[in-house]
Amino acid sequence: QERLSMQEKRKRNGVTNILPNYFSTATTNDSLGTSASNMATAVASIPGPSLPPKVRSPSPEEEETLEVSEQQQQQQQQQQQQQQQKLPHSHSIHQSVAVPRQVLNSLPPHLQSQDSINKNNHKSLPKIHDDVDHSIPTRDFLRSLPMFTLLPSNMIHELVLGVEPKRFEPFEYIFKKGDCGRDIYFIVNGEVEVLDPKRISIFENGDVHNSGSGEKKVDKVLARLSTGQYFGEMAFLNSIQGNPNPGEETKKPEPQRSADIRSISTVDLLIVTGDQLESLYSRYPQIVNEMQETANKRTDRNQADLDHDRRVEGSSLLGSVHRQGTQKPFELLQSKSQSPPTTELFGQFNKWNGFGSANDGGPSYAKRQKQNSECAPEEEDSTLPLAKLSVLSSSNSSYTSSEIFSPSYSISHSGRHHSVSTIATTTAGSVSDDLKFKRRPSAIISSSSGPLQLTPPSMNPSTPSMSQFPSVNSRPQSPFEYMNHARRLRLTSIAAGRRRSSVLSTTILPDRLLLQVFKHLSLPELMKLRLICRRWRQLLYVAPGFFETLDLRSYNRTIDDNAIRQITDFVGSRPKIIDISNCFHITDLGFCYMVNEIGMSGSIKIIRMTSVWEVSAMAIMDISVPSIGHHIEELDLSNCKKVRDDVIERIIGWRKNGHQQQQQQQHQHQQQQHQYTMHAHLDLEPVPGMEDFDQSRNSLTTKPTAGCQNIKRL
Amino acid sequence: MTEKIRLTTSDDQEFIVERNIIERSVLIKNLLNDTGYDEDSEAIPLPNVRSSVFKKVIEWAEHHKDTTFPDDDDEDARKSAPIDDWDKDFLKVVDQEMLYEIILAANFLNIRPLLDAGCKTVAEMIRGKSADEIRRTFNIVNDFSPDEEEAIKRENEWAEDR
Repeated sequence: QERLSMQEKRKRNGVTNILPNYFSTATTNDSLGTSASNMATAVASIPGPSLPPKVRSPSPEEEETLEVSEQQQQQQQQQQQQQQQKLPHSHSIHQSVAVPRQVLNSLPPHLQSQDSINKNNHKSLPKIHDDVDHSIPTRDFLRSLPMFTLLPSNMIHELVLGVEPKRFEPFEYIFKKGDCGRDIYFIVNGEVEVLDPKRISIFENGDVHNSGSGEKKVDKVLARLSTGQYFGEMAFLNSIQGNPNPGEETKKPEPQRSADIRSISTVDLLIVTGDQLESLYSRYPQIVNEMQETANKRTDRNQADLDHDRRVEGSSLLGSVHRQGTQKPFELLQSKSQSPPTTELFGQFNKWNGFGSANDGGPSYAKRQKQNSECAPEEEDSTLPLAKLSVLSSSNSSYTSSEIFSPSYSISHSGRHHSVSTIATTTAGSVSDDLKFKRRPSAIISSSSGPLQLTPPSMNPSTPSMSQFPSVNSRPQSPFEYMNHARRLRLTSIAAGRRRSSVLSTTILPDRLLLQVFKHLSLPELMKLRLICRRWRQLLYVAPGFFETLDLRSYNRTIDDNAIRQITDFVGSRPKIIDISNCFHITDLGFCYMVNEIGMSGSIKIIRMTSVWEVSAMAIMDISVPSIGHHIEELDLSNCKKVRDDVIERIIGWRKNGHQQQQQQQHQHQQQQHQYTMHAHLDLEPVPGMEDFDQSRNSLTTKPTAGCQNIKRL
Repeated sequence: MTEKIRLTTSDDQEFIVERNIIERSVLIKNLLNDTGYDEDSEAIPLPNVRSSVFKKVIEWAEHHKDTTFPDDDDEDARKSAPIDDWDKDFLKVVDQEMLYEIILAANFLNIRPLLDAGCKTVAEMIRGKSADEIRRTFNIVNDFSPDEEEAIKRENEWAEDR
């Protein structure tokens, strides 16, 4: 039925609204987007040999060909470009997108063949077998990106066609600093970290491409990005802004990446090529305007950071790298947690991260600056990082004068001093300071986009879990206010004035007996009782021994993230046993909120979360934060489809050395337990091989790290 | 052939109860075991219990003298067990005042099953009622300002739908 209605829509919209309609209402856009991407779905999912039989009737096919052809008439150039781009892509759209939801259906062999057919038949469309389920995520995902939400339908269609999915295993480099390229990477699933490969060595200022060779290497985690966020577009922005006239594009060099991107977990990415995006941009500059608007806001924050840097510098001109490093996280946490909770700003945060993560010193940009700015060469270098931001912030202004840089110049100047002096402490080569600074503009910009990690050597598997803590606390996409239970209590008691004594209370039963009564009431009833009077409210909040077992199974259908937040706020840190089995509406937001809120101040011993399949790996990793994981004794992750082996490794694998011996035995036990549950319940879970799992876990146990030390059953 | 125990309530009424019946009360039972009790001992004072209430308690205990209740420590079992039919009727006929006093007495005398029955009955009075109704039932004054009430209602969004 849904498909039918979509077809209907497409009939209406597809024919009449080929041209993008910027000013159409949100709903129209919606339907447009739906139809277009639905079409894209059909186009992009020409069947592989083993895919289910076609669902779609020929009529939509006609529509699609019609629409495609019309589009081609209008946008022939782009289409051709796209097709050219498509050819080298060897991955199927579905591979990355469908995995989380359609595990069984998205076996790679199908997809490869599917995609190859797709490539060949893009234009002719002999027969369209619809496989909406596979592609809807692609479309939805792209449309959910703030950058593209305003795009008209056929643009999203094009995007979906041209996008290249790719999967990276944990700890794989997606690109490295200095690599050329301006593709933009959207994270569909998983998490990556942005690393600033700082080589403390005299060679650092040399060719960036050589920087990997053998010097002492200290990777800094500048930011971590997860689902919905993207990276790499800084290079793209630079490339298009360096060339206001698209005609010149052939001549300019590919911009360079200025930071490493490495996957933390298995990451599914959608890659939008720079060429494709640029072709979009040439017709619909609004995409980039959006980016730039966002950049305006980011600039303010970055400047604030730099301001702070300057102050720090004032106190110690020779501030070391460490100082810089330690100073930042606080600010970042603040600025992050300040970011308002609306989805719009969420998107902006994404972009901000994107900017920070993938900004690019780009030779092309430096060149531009030389052409257009009056600054002396050294100053150019020093202004580079901020100037770039300024450029972004002055979205549509052409770069005819250096005036736009002036407001930020003083800041960046001092910032430069800071960095220069920083570097001077580590290396003696003063001549190369400027150069060096230019090479790592990300040090300033990127670092302000995420908490810096001082401690972890990059390969230390504890890094994610350790850094999980701050990132969770500041989790900006959470639409929830973060207030711990104690504070809430304080607030309520302040609001309620002095607590009334039971003797004076108007009810007949003393508090203790009232609580006895309450024990016989269900959770929602108790929540409602907060409304009765202050005393009851107070009583319900502080009642000891309540909700030690938080069993939400009976409400599984109705509990979503918002509900779990309300419940969490209510129960505070009291629960020790949490059972949210089958609460399948809970996603990362709610789960993280619950785990952190309850876990930080309380002690969760058991979490049973059978079939809470929307909760992703990284959210579950929150459990392994020491303060929470310390108490965990039992964890039931059966049928959580996003949970994979590596997650489990991290949860159980990291232990202190001292516990190793005794826990080795528990491991055996766990192993059996785990295998049992896996086989019993996890038919759908992507379990590549239990042997691998066992081996890797055993090897991991030799490393002293943090995790759930007391976990006994899994 | 059971011992008779003498007890005096707060209003100086003396009751003579069979030991196995009054031993429903863990308080009394422990007292008897600890101190030893014989015919000559003084009556056990129950300063917190009025005679009318104590009569009710005895009535309940006599009815349940052969009943085995779930283990005191087994919270779940006690919680999930429905109120005994007889208890329900027994507690229904008394007015609210008496119900509270029975609960208080059961609490004082440490008679778990009676206490549970009483609490469940009260919980039953709360369940499914609106806030206003509950306030009226329990004679509670709403001490929230309208704004506060609004805020709390927002917190309760999920719960209200249940």
